[in-house]
This record gives sequence, C-alpha cells and structure tokens, in this order.
Amino acid sequence: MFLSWLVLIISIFFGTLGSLIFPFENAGIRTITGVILGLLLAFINPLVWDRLVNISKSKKFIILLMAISMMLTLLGTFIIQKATTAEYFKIYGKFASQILFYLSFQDLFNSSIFITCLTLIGISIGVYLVYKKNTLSPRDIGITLIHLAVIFIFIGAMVGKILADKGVLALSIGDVSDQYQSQIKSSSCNFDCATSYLEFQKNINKGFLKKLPLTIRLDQFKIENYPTEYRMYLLHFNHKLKTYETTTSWAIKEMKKGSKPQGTNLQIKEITLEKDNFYKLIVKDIGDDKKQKVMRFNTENPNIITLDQSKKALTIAKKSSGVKKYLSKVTLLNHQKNIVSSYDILVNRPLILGSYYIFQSSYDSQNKNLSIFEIVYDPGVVYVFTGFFLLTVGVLLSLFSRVRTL
Amino acid sequence: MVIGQSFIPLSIMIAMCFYLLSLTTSFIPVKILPKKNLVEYGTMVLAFVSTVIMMLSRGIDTSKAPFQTLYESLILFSSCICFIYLVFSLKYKISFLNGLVALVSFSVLLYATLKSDSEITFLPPALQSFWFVPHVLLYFIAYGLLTFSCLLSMHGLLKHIRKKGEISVKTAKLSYTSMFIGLIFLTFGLITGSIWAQRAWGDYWSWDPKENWALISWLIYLIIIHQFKSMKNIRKMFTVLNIVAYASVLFTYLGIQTLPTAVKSKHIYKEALSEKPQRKPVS
Repeated sequence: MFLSWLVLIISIFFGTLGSLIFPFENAGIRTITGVILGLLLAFINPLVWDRLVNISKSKKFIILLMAISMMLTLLGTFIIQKATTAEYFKIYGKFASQILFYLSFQDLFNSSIFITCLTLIGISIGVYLVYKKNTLSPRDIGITLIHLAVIFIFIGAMVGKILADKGVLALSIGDVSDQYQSQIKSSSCNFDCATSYLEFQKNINKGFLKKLPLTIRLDQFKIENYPTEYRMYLLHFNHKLKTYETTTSWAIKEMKKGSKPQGTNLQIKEITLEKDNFYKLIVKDIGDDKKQKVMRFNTENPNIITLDQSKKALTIAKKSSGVKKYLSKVTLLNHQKNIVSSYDILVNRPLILGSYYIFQSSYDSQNKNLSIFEIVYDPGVVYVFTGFFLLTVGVLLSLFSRVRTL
Repeated sequence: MVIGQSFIPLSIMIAMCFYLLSLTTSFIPVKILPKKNLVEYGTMVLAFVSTVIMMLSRGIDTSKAPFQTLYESLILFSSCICFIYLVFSLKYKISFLNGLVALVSFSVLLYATLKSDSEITFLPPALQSFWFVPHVLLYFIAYGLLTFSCLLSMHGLLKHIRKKGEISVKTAKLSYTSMFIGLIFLTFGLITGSIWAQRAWGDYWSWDPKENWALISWLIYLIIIHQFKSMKNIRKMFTVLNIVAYASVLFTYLGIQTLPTAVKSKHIYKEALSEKPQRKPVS
C-alpha cells in the first residue's frame, strides 16, 4: 500500500512539475509527459522495477486511482468551473479562491492531479493486461476486451487533448470559405445566443485562421418553427404593483370538457375557437353561485376577464412553441472550385470531413441569412469509438463467460 | 382530477389504484386470501399495463417518445421498476418484495403527478436524434434494475437487523445479479449518451454535472464489482454498499438541480412554470 502511494505521489509530483516547466503549449500534454517521465524515473531502478510493476497492475492500486478520480469528479460538481476571478472571490472568498487557483480546481477536469490520475489508470490497466495470464481464454476474453476498451478510450482522450482543435465558421448565404477561426471557446454558445459568433467577430484579427480539407459554400439557411400554440393564463392581482401576474397556465389543447383548471372554481363545459380570432369558453362555476358563464377571449389582442372580486383573472395568449429545425444546405468544393457534393447540416447531423466535424451551432438574430458553424477537429474520436465498440463486445461476452457470484 | 398544476390522465390514476391494491394485498395473510400471490402479481401487471397505455397514448398524441420531461421520465421510471419486478418474478419466488415494489412505484407516480412539467412540449432540435430513445431506455432499464437490486438489499438488511441472522444467500445473489445487469445497462447508457453528445455538440464528454454524476455512480458500482470478493462478511458488506451506491443513482437522476454547478448543465429537467411570470397592465 505504501508503494502504491509512492508511485502516485512521484507521478503527481512530476506531472505537476511537467505542467509547469515543459515548453509545450497545451497543459494536458505537459502533464501527461510529466507523469510518464515520473513513472519512468520511478521504474528506472531495477531493484524496485518488479515491485512497482506489481503495484501498477494490482487491483488495489487501480481501485485507489478510481476512488481518487471519483472524488475529484464529485468535487468538480460542487466547485463552480471556469468562472471569472471576480466570481470566485464573490462566491468562495479570497482565501479559499486562492487555494482553488493554486490547485487548479477552478478548471478541475484539466488540472494536473486529475489528468495524472486518469493517465495512471490507463497505464495501470495496460500493465495489468500485459502481465495478465490467459487474457485470450474463452473465460477471460470479455474481461480483457473491457480493459482494452478503457485503454482505447484513454488513448482517444489523450490524442484529443493533444491534437484537438475547435473553432467557428460564420457564413452568409452565398459565402464560400475553406478557413475557420481556430481556438474560440464555443461552450457558451447555444441556439438562443450568438455568443460564439460575437467572439468570432471580436477575435477575427487576433486569432489565426486554419484550413479545412474542402471549401464550403452556404446555399441556404432556414429556421423552421413549431406551430404557435395558445395557452390560458391564470392571473393574480398584485396590489403593490397594481398589475396582474401569471400564477399558472395551461395549453388550450389539453383543456378537456369536464376538467377544472386549478386555482379557479370553474369547470370547463366547452372551449371553441371562433372564426374571428376569439376563443369561446363556456364554464360552470362550481363555487358559490353554481352559474354557467360564457367568456370570449381575443387571441390577437389578449383581453383579461376577471373572476371573484377581481383578485383573479383569466386570459388566453399565443405562446411560441420554439424552433423545430435549423437547416444549412451547403455545397462542398475542392481546391479547384469544382463541386464535390452537397449536404444538409442539422443539429445532430454534422458534416464530417475526415477528423473535422462541422456542426450547426448558432445564428444571428439580426441577420437571418447568417449561419454559424462550430468546427471540431478531433482525431481521438476514432479511438474512443473503437473503445466503445470493444466495451460493448466485452460486456456482452463477459455476461456469458465469467459471471461472478456472491 | 387536478393535482398540482396538471391534469392527471385516467390511466395514471388507474395505475396508482392498482399499485395501492397490490400494496394492500401484500398485508393480507394467505389464510384469508388463498390466491394472494396471483392477486398481487395480477394487480402489478395491470398497473404496468396502465402506465404503458398512458405512455403509448401520449406518444401517439405527440408523435414522439414520451421521455422528454421529468413527469414523463418518472412514469417511465415507475414502469421500469414494475417491469423488472414482473420479469424476475417469473423465474424467482420473490413475492415478499411485492409490497415494497408497489409502494415505490406508487410513490414515483405520485411524485410525477405533483410535477408542473406534465404539459406536452415540442421536441427541441438537440433531442431530435436517433440516440434519444435508446439512451433514455437503456438508462431507465438500468435504473429499474438498480432500484430492484437496492430494494432486495434493503429487504435483506431489514430482515437481518430484525432477526440478527445472516443475510440470506438467495436475496444477496439475486440482488447482485440485478445489480450486475443494471451496471451493464448503465455502461450501454453511458456509451449511447457519449455517441449522441459527440454527434450533437462535438464532445463525447463535456464534464457536465449530470455526466459527472453518471460517471460517479458507474465508478461506485465498478468498485463494488471489483472489490466485494475481498471483503469480510461479504453478503452484509455488499448489501450495505449496494444501498449506498443506489443513493448516487438517485442523486444523478433527481438531485442534480441542487448542485451549484447545475445552472450550466444541458441535462437539467426544466419545469414548465419556471418561466418568469408575465405582467399584464390593468385594463
């Protein structure tokens, strides 16, 4: 157990040292190189070689690493990640924030300690597989494949960490480009904002442009919405502000005959859309007066109909149901400007050019002709997906080959 | 009938009634009800069928799989727990667990009816993926299996505490088997989720709080699988660890919203009425 800790400490020490001193641009590469160097130095003494190999392949050591990785992952869900220094000072105070910065826990999943743990898990599983007997026997093949899969996933993650690139490409209809703006953080970009595009504009002269394998021409960009739906809103009068505020709402299509909208004394008898943009609502008051009432709501210019002493009111208004589809029709051209093919890029349907993935990322609400793409270059994906395949096969085989029991 | 802010479908009310009936039946001695097991099993089957009918009708209404909102996922969760119990009941004599399964399934449905996101919403572009249905189904089958395993462990532990005896081999073995299969489904759920994320956002793993907790619960079960053989008092330790591990699964499913990092998560269930209230001037 002592030597397990020793190997871990040596690796973490050199990993951290590596992340500080090695001349590589990428922090992940610096850490991984440091860890490997640390392990080599730990292993270089032939007297301790066998014992260290025994530790690296031991189940206890791998479990220890898994437990540490798990605890760090857990910590990463409690500590806010990648916020600004001012935000950390505000949330955690200056002293605690400085400790977080010192440990790189403000970006925990890229910190030396975390990458070291993952690298060590990968190496330990590798050593375990190399020294394990009967890895290919029918009884153990499933388990071997599962462990091999984990190594593939780690290799893919490392390759991604070292070689991956992200960027943005913004094209108006008719625009042609074979370059994208590299290394712009796009994690904050979603379909309700154009943050990434704003960053793109801001950094256009600061960053550097990178070449795509083919030229892309945007032929069409279309945003398709779901049909508008109508909702009934229950309003409550706010005496301080002298306004009605919404307390709850229901989709009209779900309001069936006999149902009782909660918060009211009404039971629905009939609800119909009339030709002149009015919803006619026939209700029975099941409160004190037991009377039947007819209400008419204007859907184009919503009106309010008050209920019991004007404290509550009802109205019907349109509600946008959101975007159904973002579609960018693109044509791919080679460097001689000849058409190679055309493709429809949708969310969940990126254009794949070798290790380049081109995603529909955002749009400009001011300029509806502008489509914004996220470019992801990750040659590690193929290793990760190979790992997933091996994991699936391994798990299925292990079901039949070796089931442990209590 | 209206509870909370939603209209409760009739089929859900029927399912809840059957669960209650099954729960009540489990307290009746065999002397009074000779075909007790059959009644228990029958009511559970009917409850399961009712929830499936509800999901099917909702799916037909909306032309999409009804797995989008927390309300829908809770109904799926309850169905999965019941389904796993019914499948295991075919092979093993586990009628002693009927009351517990009925109680949990009923509670999950009751919790669903109290949620304010029961209204049918349209599927946003990110969820319009081939991987949506397999990912969710695999995860909820895993949740069902792990819940079933945890219930078995809880039953075994309670019995052990009351009678001061050993935890029975049968209970521990069955609990382990369902946990093992649950872990396999969790693994497939993680894989399909990663592939989907890569296709939708370009990252197969983005260290999102939900993803992290899915990884944490997966690692906990993995550690149990690797370590339990070397434990002393193996059955008791496994039972306790299984219950602890299940807490992480529950937190992954329902507790993520409470985390300070959850604000930026892509996986949080958004309640329909969390929108800002609209102000309307007095007319």
